[in-house]
Amino acid sequence: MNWELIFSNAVYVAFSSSAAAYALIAIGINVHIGYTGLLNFGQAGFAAAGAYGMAIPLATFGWHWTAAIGSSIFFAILLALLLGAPTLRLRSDYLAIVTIAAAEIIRISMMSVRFTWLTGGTDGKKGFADFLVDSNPFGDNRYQFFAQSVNGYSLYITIIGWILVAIFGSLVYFMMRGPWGRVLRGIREDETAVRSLGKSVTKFKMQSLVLGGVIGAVGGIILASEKQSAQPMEYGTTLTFFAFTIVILGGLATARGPIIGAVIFWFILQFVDNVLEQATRNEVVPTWVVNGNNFGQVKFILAGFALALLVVFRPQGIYGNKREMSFDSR
Amino acid sequence: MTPAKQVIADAIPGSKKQDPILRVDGLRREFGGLVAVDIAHLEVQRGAITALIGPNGAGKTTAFNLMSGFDTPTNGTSEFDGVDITGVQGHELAQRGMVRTFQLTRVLTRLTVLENMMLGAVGQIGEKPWTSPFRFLWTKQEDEIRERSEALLKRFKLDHVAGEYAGNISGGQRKLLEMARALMVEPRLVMLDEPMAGVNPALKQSLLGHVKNLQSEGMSVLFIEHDMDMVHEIADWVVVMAEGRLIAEGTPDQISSNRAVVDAYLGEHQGTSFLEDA
Amino acid sequence: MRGVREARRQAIARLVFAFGVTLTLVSFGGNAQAATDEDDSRPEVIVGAVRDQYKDDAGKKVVENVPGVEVIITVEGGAEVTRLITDDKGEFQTEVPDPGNYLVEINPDTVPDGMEIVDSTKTPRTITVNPESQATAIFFLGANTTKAVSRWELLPQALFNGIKLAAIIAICAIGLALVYATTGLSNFAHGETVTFGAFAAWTLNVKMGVPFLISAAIATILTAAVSVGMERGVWKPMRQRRSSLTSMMIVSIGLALGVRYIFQFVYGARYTNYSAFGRQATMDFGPFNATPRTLWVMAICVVLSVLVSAWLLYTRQGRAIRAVADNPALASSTGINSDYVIAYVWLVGGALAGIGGILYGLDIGVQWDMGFRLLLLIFAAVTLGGLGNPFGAILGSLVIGIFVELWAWLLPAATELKTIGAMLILIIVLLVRPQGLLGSPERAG
Repeated sequence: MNWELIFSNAVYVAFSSSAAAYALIAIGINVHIGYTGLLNFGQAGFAAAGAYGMAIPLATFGWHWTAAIGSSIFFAILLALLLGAPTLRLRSDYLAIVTIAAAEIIRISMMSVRFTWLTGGTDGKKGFADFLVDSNPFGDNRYQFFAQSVNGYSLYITIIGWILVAIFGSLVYFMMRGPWGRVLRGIREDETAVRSLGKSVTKFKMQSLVLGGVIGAVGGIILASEKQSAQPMEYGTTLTFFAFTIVILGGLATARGPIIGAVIFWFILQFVDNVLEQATRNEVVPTWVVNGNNFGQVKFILAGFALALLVVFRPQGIYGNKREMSFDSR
Repeated sequence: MTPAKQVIADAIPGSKKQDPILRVDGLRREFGGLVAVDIAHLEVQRGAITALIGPNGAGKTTAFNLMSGFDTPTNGTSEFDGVDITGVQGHELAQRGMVRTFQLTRVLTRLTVLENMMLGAVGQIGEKPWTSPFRFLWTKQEDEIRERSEALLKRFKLDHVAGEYAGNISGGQRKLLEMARALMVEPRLVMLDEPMAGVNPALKQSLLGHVKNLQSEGMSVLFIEHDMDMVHEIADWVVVMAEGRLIAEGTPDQISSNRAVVDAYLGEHQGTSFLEDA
Repeated sequence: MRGVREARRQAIARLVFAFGVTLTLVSFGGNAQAATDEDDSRPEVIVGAVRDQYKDDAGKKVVENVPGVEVIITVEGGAEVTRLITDDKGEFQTEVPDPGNYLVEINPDTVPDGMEIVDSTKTPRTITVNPESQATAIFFLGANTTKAVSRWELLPQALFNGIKLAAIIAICAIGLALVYATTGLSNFAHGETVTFGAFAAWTLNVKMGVPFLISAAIATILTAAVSVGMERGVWKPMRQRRSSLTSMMIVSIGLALGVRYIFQFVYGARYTNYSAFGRQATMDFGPFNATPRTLWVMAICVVLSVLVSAWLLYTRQGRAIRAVADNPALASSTGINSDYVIAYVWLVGGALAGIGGILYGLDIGVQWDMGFRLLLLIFAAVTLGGLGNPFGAILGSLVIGIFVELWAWLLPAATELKTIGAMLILIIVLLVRPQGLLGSPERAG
């Protein structure tokens, strides 16, 4: 068992561009569920809109990268409007069901053989990352983080990712401290009361859905940029519920929650994965317990039960004020 | 304190008022074939305290919801302060100066009492997503709102719990908070849905005082109430509903001796509560 | 003539052999693995064949080998592995570097003149290669004449398939709707209850050799027991803690995610079948064909739906359930023990979901995420019918099931998108009639 590699890789992953992407996606979901009380179960759809919204114009239509990022944001806003319009006036579980369905529609469409020329099908959409490769100041150099070797491109995307996390994290922090955020938090508590005070609740909810969706799309851009490929399988429901786990772990309705949550979440997941990988490879554990083929599922099992247990036993996350952060208002 | 305003009008259902702030015509609400509310005509006098009473299931709260834009009537038109408000939504009516409270208090539990108050102010510059992150844009207005909130909290004797989560204060304090918060909207018409229900006698007196204060500050009040004592004490005018219709209107004294009203209550309560109260 | 018959016999024998090998590997994958020498592990292999299948003048089915067709094998979502040409037996075989999912595709340019890839032949096709085992891909070509079947002649079959899917969705949906009606919980773990039923039956049947019907009965009881266990162990305590419905919904998602991957952990990602599973001859009903198995599946679903509806409408327990759904406070004041009512809602809902899973497994095979994939259709059906109305759920299932198969009929080139049709219809209905087909307007608001 190479403990140095296990640890350095887990720490690396906890601060990698993937973790940054998940932090962004979780910041978005925190705007929805943490601050506004909107049950968005389709955040993966927003991330996919971000990734494909950028990748397709760049790779297929040869747009400039700035325009491609604009298109990415455009599709996230469009998706929020399409999902919000029919559901935001209805009871909250309708939004949940419609968003999860919409996210699956997007994923299945992206995988469709029929649109392979456009979306890349199951192989994913590639060939869009030239602008990132060309602007990468670290080149092909490799850097050593203890036993973990990191290439220049990954380092570049990691830095961009965490800069974006800082930007959007503080943006959300300041927005929520202002009167607008106060209205959102009011809606989370009791939208009828907020309506009686002269606020157009549907409009505020829509603004929240757009904001969180756009931040999720930015997360999707990072996710695709890191691999230089927008992979449809990555935008499944698992992504959304990992983001949920991250937000609850770090603390709902706090600015730092999704960021700290992402780091802890990825550290634990990668650590467990690494230990199991080495254990099965070195045959430290008998194969009937866990083997080289199924150890990869353990992290999903952990993440799922962690989500359920957190909500029941520590809804306020690993630290924090119980009252503000649970889902239960009374 | 200015004396209670006299309402000069005929004591008949749907009578004309001198200076109505709210007027509804042909207001009707059906739930799957059942008629819950059917008000042919109603005017609410400006500057007066009007009570809306009636036995359980008379459609008082439904009528309230319809008038305040929280429910959509099957048909009917309404006018607020001379402007047609048919089909206008609840939040917009609140912005125009017609604010309501709820039978079961609706405080925002995980916001502080002060935040509950400040949320109520209308026309806030910082309530746009693009202005919210820039403190310098709204900080001056925010300070004014805070001052106004604190003054109101003081008046309602809630200043000592301003920093508490609203979910942590007592039921009575929640009633007070909800009324105080409604005033943050700077309304011209305040609609209170059973403001005195389920509170202790001491608090009842304090709430009564607050309602009278609203009138003396020039606001009109329309409130739903069960307790005839309360109605007698503060209402200038009483509107009675039964089975979705207006059955009587008049001063509290006129209503107490109204045969139709007594019958309506008799049908509901076997006569005890209303006659004793009156 | 004799030659043809001989070739056919050989082809069938080979097919049966390949099928048997696959089944054996699937069933005893673990044992086979343990028996092999560690250093001399067997390679992963893809084998397959391209066959020409047609009906001769007498109307008999004829299968012939097609040599010289190019087959392209790529790693799913990755690089091309190899290109092969089918030999004179129409077969191909290659070792692949790793276990995993591969795409196997026929190069249409190499298909001999006069033959065509028929609609029912999926190419490219994803196949899963398990460690140290062999995966099979057989492609059937046909004469161009198969195209002559008009679209309209396929409609009855599409409708029949739709009703079959609807029947399975319906018995899964009743449980979800009843739980929603009595507790307000949108249970996202319902899909895993469905999968549990299928795997419980599969384990008993395949791993323990219990006859299928007995396995199914035990699995149904087990699923109902697990369902009630969840109610007593998780949901009732959460209700007593006054947890919000949002909390409970998210807990159900977490449990669903965890349990789903436990299924994959234990059973792997492949499709498996019950040991009673064999190819059944299709029966010709004129406009459509059906296997006896399919007819049994449909009959069971319909009978159960009718029985449950009658139970809800005409029995004391049914009335109690509807009373709790309408107004829990009022129901408890009239002496109904709502906890008890909710418990048997979970019991019945769990049993139905278990049966749904077993039948769905019979229809498409048992797989770790079968319930989750069905869940979205179940939710669409329940929402469409009016959240919390069990009769609405049945009606919604009918609409969703038929719509999904009609989509496939209408757009045969995009059948992989057919579930999208169900999602779209759900969104459209919410726009037009948010309370669903049988929902009352006051409830949505």
